[in-house]
Amino acid sequence: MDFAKDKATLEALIAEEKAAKADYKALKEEVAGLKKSIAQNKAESKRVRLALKAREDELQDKGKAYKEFADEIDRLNKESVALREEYATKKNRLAHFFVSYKPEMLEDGIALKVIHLKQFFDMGSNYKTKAVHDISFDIKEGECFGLVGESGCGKTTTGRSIIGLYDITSGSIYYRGYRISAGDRWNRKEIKWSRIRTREQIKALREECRNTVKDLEKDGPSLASGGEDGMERTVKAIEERYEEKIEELKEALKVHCEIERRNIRRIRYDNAHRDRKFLNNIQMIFQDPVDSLDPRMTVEDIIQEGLKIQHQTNKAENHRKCVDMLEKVGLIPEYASRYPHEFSGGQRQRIGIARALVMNPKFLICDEPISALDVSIRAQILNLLNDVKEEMGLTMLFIAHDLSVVKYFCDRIAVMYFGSIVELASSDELFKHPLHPYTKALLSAIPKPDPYYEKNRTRLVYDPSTAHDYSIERPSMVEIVPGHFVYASPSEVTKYLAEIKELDASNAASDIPASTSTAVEAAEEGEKAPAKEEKRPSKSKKASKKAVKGEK
Amino acid sequence: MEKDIKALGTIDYPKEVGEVPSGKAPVLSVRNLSVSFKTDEGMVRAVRGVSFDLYKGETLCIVGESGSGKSVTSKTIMGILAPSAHIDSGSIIYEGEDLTKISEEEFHLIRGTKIGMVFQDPLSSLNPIMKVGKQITEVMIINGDRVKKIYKDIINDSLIAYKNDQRLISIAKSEMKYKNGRKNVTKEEKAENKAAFQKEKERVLPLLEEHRKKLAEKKKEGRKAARAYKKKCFLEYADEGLSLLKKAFASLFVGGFTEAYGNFIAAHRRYVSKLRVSRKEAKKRALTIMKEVGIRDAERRFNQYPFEFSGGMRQRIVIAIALTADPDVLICDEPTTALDVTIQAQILELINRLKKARNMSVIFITHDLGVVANMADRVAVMYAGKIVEYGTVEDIFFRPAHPYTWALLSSIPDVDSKERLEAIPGTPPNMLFPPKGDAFALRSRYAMGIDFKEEPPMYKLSSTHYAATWLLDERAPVAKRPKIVSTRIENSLKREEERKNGLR
Repeated sequence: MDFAKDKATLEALIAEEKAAKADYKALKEEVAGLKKSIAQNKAESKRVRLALKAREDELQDKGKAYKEFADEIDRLNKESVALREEYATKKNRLAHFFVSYKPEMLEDGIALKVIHLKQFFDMGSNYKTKAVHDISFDIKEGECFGLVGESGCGKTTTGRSIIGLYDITSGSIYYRGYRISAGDRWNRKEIKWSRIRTREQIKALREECRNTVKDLEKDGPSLASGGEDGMERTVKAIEERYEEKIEELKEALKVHCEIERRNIRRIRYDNAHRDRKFLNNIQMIFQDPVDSLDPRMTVEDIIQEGLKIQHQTNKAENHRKCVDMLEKVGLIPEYASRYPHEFSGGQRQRIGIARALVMNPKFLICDEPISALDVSIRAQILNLLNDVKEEMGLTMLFIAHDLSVVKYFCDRIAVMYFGSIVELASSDELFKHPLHPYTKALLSAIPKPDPYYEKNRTRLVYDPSTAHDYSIERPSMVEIVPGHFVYASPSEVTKYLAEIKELDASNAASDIPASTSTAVEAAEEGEKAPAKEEKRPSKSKKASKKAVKGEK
Repeated sequence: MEKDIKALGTIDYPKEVGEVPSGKAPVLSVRNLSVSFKTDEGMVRAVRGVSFDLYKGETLCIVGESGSGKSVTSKTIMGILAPSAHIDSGSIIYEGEDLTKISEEEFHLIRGTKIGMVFQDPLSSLNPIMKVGKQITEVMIINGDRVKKIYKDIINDSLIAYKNDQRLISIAKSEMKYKNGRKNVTKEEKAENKAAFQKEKERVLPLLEEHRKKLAEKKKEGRKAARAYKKKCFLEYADEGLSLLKKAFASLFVGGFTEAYGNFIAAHRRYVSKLRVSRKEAKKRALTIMKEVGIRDAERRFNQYPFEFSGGMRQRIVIAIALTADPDVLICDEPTTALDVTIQAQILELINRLKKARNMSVIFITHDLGVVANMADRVAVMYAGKIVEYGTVEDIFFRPAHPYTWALLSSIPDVDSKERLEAIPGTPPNMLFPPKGDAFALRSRYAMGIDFKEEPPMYKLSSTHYAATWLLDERAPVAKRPKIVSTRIENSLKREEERKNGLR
């Protein structure tokens, strides 16, 4: 506990709250003003209508009378629409005004930020399964982020926590700057432990005080200190000094607890005031295409369910959307009236994708969408997801256990092992420089359709008890190369850096013939070359955009 | 042209599975096997003329999409088809006998003991309320009654002969019913079928009678032998046991009772173990097998329930159960599909190791070509109930000839490349109405006119490599493999060369 720092934070928090309250008041007034102007608008239009009616009676000709007022009515109508829209957005903002909001995230282009996420499950009798234990990552706008690991490592739990199927235990998740869910376990524990720590410190101080006094008394009242009276005075001074220290500690604890209490209050407030409509932007595709579709609903019902829950009850509109979606995912509109059991696995997964896409999401969580499918159908679904991603500009979190699929699909990959992320890098970087022993083990386990390779394959085994020695140094996430994070201790970092150099050297030796051969292949292949070229400018555009941003 | 097609059509290609290479003995040969299922809508032709050989100590991988008939083939070999199934034609020769014709009694001697099977879902193939140890030892204890075994050994041959005769009649009867149950059967045909059945029945009946008499004799003999064995064991035990028991009672007054009584109990146990496999013996063997399949801490694991095991460990248990009887042939029906990559690699290594150690033959069914590359010596690619390509691993991966194999190879994402995948459009055909001609033609880019009219014969590419596609015909236009496939093959060949150079 750092008293000065804590105090500063607390003051900042209080000031922030005050400012927020003031802002809220201003916004509220604005909204009230809007309401008033809407009322005015209504009154005016009523007046105009009355005037129109009067003229109508006079002229006995509807068209002529209407013409006179046409401009006025038009203006009023437009004004009314604009006002209502503004009123709705502002009122919505007002309703979720105190939810934590970090606009700087939008400026950085981060779509989703997960900070210290922990997800524990209560298993009864004070025993907890720590499914996800302290992971942090962020997903940039328009990016596809892969989460890899073996079954039971918490990757699915992470996805489900993000979409809000679980109340998270600790940490927070931000989507486009807004905190969409948070947990307060850490804060509660912090209060508890800081109390215990302070109590122990106070105890130690009291002990120290008693000891110094005892030492003084053992020496006996000396002449220099001024006899009995002087002795008493010194003891009192010492005790007072210690008392002061204790008071200081208590004060520090108070401030610290106050901060945490405020944080907890905020977390609870945020969780209670989530903007449900805003959360529609996040959708999920589930693993099992058989279990995730209700067998008693038709395809149309399944696809429209989300819309109905969001009170979009226009039947014709919903049907149109449903049909559009079916066509987008490669099914025929006639399928809308059928039931899920009439479809094959790949088609069912397409229905699952349509159900997610009909809500017009910006962010899609794919929870092992292809692992339950046949090989030939897998490629279809992967290609479909790729198309949809480009068409709708989706940001994706792609969860899988097969590294070859993730590499094919994702821009950046995080490798998870037993609830924590052990390595995070861009997909090319991860395959070029796999550093963490678990990543290497995973890579060595991928079956390749190449008999020679398979017969000579040496599978690496990852055993955390022998692979690391964390008894002396504590490991943490370290950025080894820009954009490449590894969970490692300082001594391991030096080891990994040496490994990167080695890998680079060996790659450089074998890279030269490979690159020339690809160039030749590209020249040979006339059909695919234009398609590739089409893609390239879009990427370079993005890059140039980023560069421009950086200059700004 | 039409004449040529007709000439080609007469080739009885299912019989073409290649000559037996020197130094290899076929353990199991399947010839022209066809299986269909009766449903409300009609007959589903699941398997349509499959032929292959399985050699001693080799792995045969059957690859294909779900619904291509891989599992049905393996189930037919195991004799565990659903009652609605009907074997239309073909034979499965194992140890000189046709597994499609033998009786259930004879199958008891083969299933599990000589041909073992590992299923796809390890959770649903284990009993959830039974301890794992009990599930492994169950078979050993049930088959471990030595008195019964003596009896069975004596009567077995005649019993099997008798039951086989019965089965022949029932097969003939079901055949008649099946033929008469079809639509558009005239009365004459019906009568003809019935006559054929009667003829078969008359042929078999005297044999049946003879065998029954023989069986009754053998039964008597067997009972006698069993009783004699039991008596012999008991007499041996009775003297020793009685004296030991007397000693024990005597020691009641002298002291040292526990030791003496212990001796008596040991003698009794010896006697019991002569009669049947005791629990202790079975447990000992189960523990060695559990260690063999890589289950650490087997003593503790023995007393646990399946839910306490992870997916990979459960699959190991299933393999252990399959191995208890020391089978010659192991059929693995997608054993790693429900597992993730790291565990899959472990299980594959385990199966490979066991295969080598026990000189087993393995039929491995999967839809993952990466797994095939790891496991297989020989590969059969199945589509719509037929083997479309058959060859060694090198044949299939480096010289693929069938468009379906190309499509399979190009639809898996590769770690080395990031190109757009070439998905196979559409879905497998509905086997209620098997397509005319080449079944894959509807989804193939290389389909020609003839593919929709005539079924392609099995073309011989080399002594080990066969493919059923019209593209291999002399008159067909030259078709090139998809770009992805050829580059991958080039890359892997290059890598292999580099590796070899590096080794030198």
